[in-house]
Amino acid sequence: MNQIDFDVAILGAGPGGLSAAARAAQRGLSHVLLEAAEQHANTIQQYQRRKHVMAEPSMLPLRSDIAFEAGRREDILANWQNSIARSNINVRYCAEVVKITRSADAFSIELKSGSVVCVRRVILALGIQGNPRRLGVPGDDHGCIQTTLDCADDYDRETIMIVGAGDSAIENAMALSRRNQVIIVNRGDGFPRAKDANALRIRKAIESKTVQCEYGAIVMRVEDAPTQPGERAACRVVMKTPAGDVAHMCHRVITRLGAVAPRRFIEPIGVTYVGTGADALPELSPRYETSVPGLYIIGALAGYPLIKQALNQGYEVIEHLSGHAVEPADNAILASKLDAVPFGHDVDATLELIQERVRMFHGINPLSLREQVMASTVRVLEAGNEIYLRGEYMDSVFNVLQGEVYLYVPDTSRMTISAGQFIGAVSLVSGRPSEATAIAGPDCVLLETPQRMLKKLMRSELAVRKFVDRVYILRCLKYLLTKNTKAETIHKLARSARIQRLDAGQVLFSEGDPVDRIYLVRRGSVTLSRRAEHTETPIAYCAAGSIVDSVGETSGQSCRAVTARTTVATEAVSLDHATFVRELRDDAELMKQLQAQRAEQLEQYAHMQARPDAGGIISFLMSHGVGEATNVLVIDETLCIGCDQCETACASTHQGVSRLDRRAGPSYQFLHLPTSCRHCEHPHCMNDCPADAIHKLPNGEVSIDDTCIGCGNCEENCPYGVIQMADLPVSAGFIDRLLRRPAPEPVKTAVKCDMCVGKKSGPACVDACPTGAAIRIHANDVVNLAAKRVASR
Amino acid sequence: MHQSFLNIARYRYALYAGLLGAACVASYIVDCAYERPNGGTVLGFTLGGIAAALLLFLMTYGIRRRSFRGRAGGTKRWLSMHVYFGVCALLVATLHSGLQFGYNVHTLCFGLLCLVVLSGCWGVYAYLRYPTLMARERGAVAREDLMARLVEADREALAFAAKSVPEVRDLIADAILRTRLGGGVWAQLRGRDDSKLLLVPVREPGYTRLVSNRGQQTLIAQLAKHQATSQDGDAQHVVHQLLQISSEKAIVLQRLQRDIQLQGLLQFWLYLHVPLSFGMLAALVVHIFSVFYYW
Repeated sequence: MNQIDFDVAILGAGPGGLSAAARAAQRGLSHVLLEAAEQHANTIQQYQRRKHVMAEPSMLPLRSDIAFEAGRREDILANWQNSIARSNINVRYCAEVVKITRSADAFSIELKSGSVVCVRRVILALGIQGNPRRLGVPGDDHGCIQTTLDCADDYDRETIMIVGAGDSAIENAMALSRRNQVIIVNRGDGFPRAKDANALRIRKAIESKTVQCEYGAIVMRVEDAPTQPGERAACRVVMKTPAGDVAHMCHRVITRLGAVAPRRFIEPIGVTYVGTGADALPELSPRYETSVPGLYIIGALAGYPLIKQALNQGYEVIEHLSGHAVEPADNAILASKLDAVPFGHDVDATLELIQERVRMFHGINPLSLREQVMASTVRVLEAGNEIYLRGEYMDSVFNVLQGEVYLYVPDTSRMTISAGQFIGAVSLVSGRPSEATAIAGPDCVLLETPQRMLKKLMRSELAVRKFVDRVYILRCLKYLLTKNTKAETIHKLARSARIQRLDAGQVLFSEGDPVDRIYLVRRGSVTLSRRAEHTETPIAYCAAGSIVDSVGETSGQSCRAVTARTTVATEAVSLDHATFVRELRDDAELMKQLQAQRAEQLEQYAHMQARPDAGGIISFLMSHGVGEATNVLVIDETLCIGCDQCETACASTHQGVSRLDRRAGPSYQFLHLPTSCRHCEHPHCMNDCPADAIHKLPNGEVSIDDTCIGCGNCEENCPYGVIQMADLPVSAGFIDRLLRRPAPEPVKTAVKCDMCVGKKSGPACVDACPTGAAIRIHANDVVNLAAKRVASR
Repeated sequence: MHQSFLNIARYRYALYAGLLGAACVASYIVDCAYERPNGGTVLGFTLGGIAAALLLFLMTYGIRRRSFRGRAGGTKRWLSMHVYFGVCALLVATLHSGLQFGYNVHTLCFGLLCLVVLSGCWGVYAYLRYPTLMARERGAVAREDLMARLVEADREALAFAAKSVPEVRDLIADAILRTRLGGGVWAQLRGRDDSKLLLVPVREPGYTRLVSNRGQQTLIAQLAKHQATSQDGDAQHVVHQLLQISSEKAIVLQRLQRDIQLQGLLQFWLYLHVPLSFGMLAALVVHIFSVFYYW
């Protein structure tokens, strides 16, 4: 075994790593901070210039030797640079780690330069960006090679080579081609990885010779260019192409080859992950120790994407390692949150009891539980208090800590939910309004957790997902069936249930298939269509919560008369048809209910089939995401006079920034879908908001609150391009204006339609439309809209 | 679902305006039996009062349209009332006049009102007809996209022309330079392509002639000539490409011109309606003032 060089090696000089290193320096712990890049906080260095960086969550106290408060990117980076200089941190830049191996009581860290560092413990604070993939050929460290492009306008009249064929390579190539000669090096012969629009743009640019492309080319080496008088220093890139070896002289090379995911680097050390998905997290102890003793993971890599969390964790890990036990920074907040919980004498004991009592949290990682509770609210209710009403959109799930809750659904008996169970399962899964009204029973204490947090837990803990699925199926069956249905029957049916997850556009069943399962849409939606003259004509639409093709399923037909195709990513629960019929044929009330539903659907089928044009309208709306909309703006082009009153009204009621773009967006048969928020049932924008700033309100509105840190994740995640990052003006205070101080700089924030909540006359866009061209509809109105339009022609 | 401003709330405002108009006509007919219709009778004053109140109410539509925070009901309801009560106001004002006209400010006010209502009716026609036509002409492509296509076609044409002989290069550059889109009010409403092209006639070298390039037809003809006379295969290919691009451009140009024309027709009436309304309001003030001043 080599000699131990340091007690601790910290990998990554981001906020977590810096904080850990600063604390280690304070404690006199021998340490080394290894950073692959040339500077600290590489991710934040790549933020756009002058970006305002927020310090969320605001309630969490900062515990670090590194100063941090909300402010401009430049100020924060300069502050950290000062902290590094002041606090005796032993940092090594350009020290890319290629391998970590563990022996009995030490780790040996192999650097790209060839040197090896031996340490007792390792803290990984790598972030989730990963290291940009390099060319891996002789000369790939040449000075003219860069992996990012800050601002295309910085380059003028240069020959720039871009290696890669993904979206970022194309976007860089297009931006640079305005002023430079661009050569794009593509290993394949097309751009299959890029978005359609990008692929189209680059193909056009190549055809018109704006960009030169080397197809099927592999870079062999990068070398200094032979110096020529009057020429700026450049490089020569030699590549292998189908036509033989080719050399290009360039001023710079930008490699856009994606990144090596950190997981692929970490797993070989022996760290176990929970789950297999892209967002699976490493298994951690309450002190952030992985399954490999002595190896710690903090920050975004551990599932904590905010700067302040990373800073605190860096501090806490070093305190723990140097034998100074420290309570987590969130302890005080948790203590005040859990104050109202009638059991447990301190935070740890209460959390333990919660884990024991609440069925959903059985067996989950204590750190995850802490995170869940941290984001939750404890609610102590008096008997008879309303928790939520039937028909309200929900943003939370309620675990019953004590007492009981009663669920009321019309036409069914009252359902009692006792301590340890939870309510809000159907809304959590379907994204639709609640099916029941929930009323608190005696001594009721609830833990209200945002759906977003629970979805994160479901992704990382398979057991939680399975539990939620089971509860969902049981609740669904109870709502679907009547009060006469025996509990035993419901359980029998639930056992036959299967959950199917399908992407948009997939077929659930086709015309002519045998009727062997009953499908219930639990998330997303499905269109039913019939084949006529080689084309599929949509004739009905099934939203979440409805039975797909109840005509086929309950009328005793043996074959499907329609094809069911998903409109968005959809999940369906399927029950065994034979069991369903056998168990429920004697339930007269249920049969009557199903008959009524069948008659309604049959009528719809007939109406729609008589109007094939309506099918086209449905297909158009569904293919542009109206299937998952709770409130979407639809413009009738035959009435729209292009006055842009909708945009003007929107801007004048929303800080001067219109949340809709009338002209943009697709049109079909005189219907136009402008670029405007659809308020999705399962908002894509909410998936990855580090500050938890996006919420779904009871009326279905998806809104962004003031805690937005302007990271732009929601803008990227929205498939309909309705979120924009806007510089919202900050109004100067009275005193500031009096003293003629300069107005504060505008803050970059994500903005989108807020459905004009609070405005009595409804959404400003619709209210201001003089001709009646603008309306807002729900996904359920699509069939009606299509039918009316066809009928009115 | 979508509902036009005309049939909102099942033609409720048409009904209200119709009832008001009918009531005024009925009282006018009854009153005729007792006295000669005149603005100065009791009924004349009443009708004048109603007409003036209606006109003031109609003028407030301009304010309602621009206030987005109010709770005064949807703009389309207001437009619906504006249309029906506007027509009704003309009827009431006619009855108020007792059909007595002369060369005075009173008749001027009435004349202006007639023009305002007529221009308004033209506006209703425009709102009902042109949006559909525009959407049909444009298809699913927005005007911005058409503009982008035009710019793209020009850029491509220049890129190809750069590889061609100087005559073709000049021809393309000149055709782009002299392509006309839109222009003044008349040019927009007429929707005619005023694009030009500078030609160097073969028989008179050194002289140039500015000819019409409507629909890019002259350019296409010139390019076709070049292609026919060119011997070089590569050069022929380049001109062939240029011909393709020019034909595409001609189609895009035509669609844009039509779009601009329809947009112009859709909006032009407002440039008459609004100034005439204010003129009418001024004449109304003078009319009322003079009536009471010379009592």
